Amino acid sequence: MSQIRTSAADSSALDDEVLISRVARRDSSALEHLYDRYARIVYATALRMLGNTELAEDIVQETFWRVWRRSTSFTIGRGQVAGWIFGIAHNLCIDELRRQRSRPVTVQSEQEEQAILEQPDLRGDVADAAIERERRRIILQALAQIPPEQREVLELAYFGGLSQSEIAQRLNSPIGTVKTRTRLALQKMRDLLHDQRIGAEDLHD
Amino acid sequence: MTLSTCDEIIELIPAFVLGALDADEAARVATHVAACPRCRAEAESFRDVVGLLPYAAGALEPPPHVKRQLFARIAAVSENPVAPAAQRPQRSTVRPPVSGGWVVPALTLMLALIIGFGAAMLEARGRADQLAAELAANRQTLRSMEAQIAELRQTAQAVEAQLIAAQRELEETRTQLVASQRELQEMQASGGKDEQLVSFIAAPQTVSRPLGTTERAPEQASARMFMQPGHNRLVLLIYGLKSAEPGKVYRLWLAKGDQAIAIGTVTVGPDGVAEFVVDAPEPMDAYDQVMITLDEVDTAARPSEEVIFEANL
Repeated sequence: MSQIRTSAADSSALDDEVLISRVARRDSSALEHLYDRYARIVYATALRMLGNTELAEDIVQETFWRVWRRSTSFTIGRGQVAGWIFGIAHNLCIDELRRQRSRPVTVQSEQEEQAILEQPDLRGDVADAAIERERRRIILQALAQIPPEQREVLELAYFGGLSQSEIAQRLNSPIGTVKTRTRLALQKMRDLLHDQRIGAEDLHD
Repeated sequence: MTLSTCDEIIELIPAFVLGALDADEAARVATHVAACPRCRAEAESFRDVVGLLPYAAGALEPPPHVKRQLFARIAAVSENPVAPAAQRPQRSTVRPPVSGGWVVPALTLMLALIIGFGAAMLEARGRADQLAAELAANRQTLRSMEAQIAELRQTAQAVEAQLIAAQRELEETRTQLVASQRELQEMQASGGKDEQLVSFIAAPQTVSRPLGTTERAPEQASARMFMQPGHNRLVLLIYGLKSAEPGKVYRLWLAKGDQAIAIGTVTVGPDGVAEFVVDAPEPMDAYDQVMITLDEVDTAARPSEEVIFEANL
């Protein structure tokens, strides 16, 4: 997401990549920075996926524990630190969901989504808070611009942790339809973010 | 496994990056993507979307203990460092390849390498499993300790609540006791006063005389005074008088020539009775006149015109 930074982010004191290389050198204060920056997102995601605060707390702890243990395997310049962290958390959630597959998965309505969005940000870091808000705005705007049936498969796949065949079963749709919707949804989102990025760059230039 | 074509794989990449493929399909895509730059580029083109999706869930501060436990765990490991598997030195049995076209030794070496690597992997995995198990056990212990702490805290809270209730009860009892003591003292005091009053009135040297009523006195009102020659004490008994209206008092005056001295105020009970015992500054023989007036509360300098009772001595 380095491309989707606001100008405030560029003046942010510590870059994610600097932090992760410091974590790799066993600097726990750098991990604390990353925790303060991303634990809120990891926790909200885990809570939405698992619907259980205790499990979500475990996911947060385990995610950052793995960041600490595996920071040496993160290759600078080949990916975003945030995406890497979220990927670890997401995989942990999917593992947990597969363990307790009997639990029904619910797709949140937009109203419910709005309801958990606005937790006051009590962090001292204004730049971090601004980046977080901006990223949320971008993704919600993009999600709002794709057709509801595509958004549904996207959410069931990402937040529900369901495979394509499980989604097909759940929605009573042919697997081919689910695959097409997933692909179209992600492609459309990619293009929207690309356009936005161009727009933002124009604005900054 | 048959080699997958790019067209086949590209169709699966969106579900792959969302983590929504079954394990075998995911493995197929991962293998292909690792080898194929075009498909890898396609997968990476979705990086921004997937990296931003978590923000759609919102942002919630995890409880503070999560961070505390995480960093306690890190501190514990730092004190007892365990070399990460990736940084572990290679096994010394693996030797660098020797020159020569020997197929068999080369194969043997390959085998040794594979076995060595496998063993290292197995060892690493065994260690990882062991660590995971320890971790799970530690976490379990932590959970049960947390539960115990919560339970203890609850017990402590209950005890504290009981203590507070008991203290409150004690406080109430103490207040009641103080009130009872005060009541007892008052009763004793009034009992003593009554006794004094009776013995004074009944004493043979006591002289009694009625006080005259004025036209301002209620019709039923009467007053009598008791005193002893050569003594300062004066006792007044008054009947049939209404309580003074707010802002006013009944005041007793003793006059000597032109000079009137306010001796005290007389409180009339709800039954219209007032008993008044006072020790005058001088023996009662020194005074010429006694009177009771209805005065403003704050005018004790001279008697008002509103005289209720009076008597010449």
